[in-house]
Amino acid sequence: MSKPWFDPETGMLMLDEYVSEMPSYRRILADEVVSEQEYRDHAEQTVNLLRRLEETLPDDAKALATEALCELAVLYALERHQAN
Amino acid sequence: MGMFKTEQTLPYSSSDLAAVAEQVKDVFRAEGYDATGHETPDGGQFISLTKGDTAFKSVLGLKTALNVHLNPTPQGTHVKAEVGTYGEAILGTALAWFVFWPISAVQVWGALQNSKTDERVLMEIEKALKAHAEGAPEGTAANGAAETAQA
Repeated sequence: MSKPWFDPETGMLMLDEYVSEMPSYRRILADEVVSEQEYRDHAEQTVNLLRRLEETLPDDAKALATEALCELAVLYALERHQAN
Repeated sequence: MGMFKTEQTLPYSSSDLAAVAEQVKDVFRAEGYDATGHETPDGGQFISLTKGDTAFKSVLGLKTALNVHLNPTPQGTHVKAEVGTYGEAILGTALAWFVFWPISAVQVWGALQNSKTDERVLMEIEKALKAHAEGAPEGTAANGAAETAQA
């Protein structure tokens, strides 16, 4: 069963909570050291997931996912800009 | 976190900001909040408030909170309230660089504003500052407590 992105009662984002449950996140936190190889491996894993997503999505969903991912990156850049 | 915060300089000064902070924490503890805090290196006070309800979601396993900084100024006491993690005066690197943090912070701040929690915190800080203000009649804080007990 797929996990909801938002809490159905509160509307709060839940993706951020799922991150802490990811085996990859827990593995990195285990020693709090990120090696260059771990970094490269995780980047490759992420790219592979994005490729699978792109191949799986129908055109309209892919357009929406593209917009959502890019706007998320914009929001993050805004926050970083404002924080510095 | 920069943008979503409430800042105000209240025209009251107190040489006992610790007592001011404790009074505020007690008020919210009585309403079921977890409250903690400490003196800051600049002589101010840090207060952290959270509750086990939906407004204060967890992010990366960390409990969010309404964090308040009190700092004495020549004009009185500067108050800044913003979303952070419980007990931590400064947002940790894990969250500061977390891609979803802007969304989570906006949502938590929105929930706090909707429930007017941010306004209430300012109100209680003002009450506490008045009670412990410089030049306040001796026993003001004690009188305040007595009035509360009689209510």
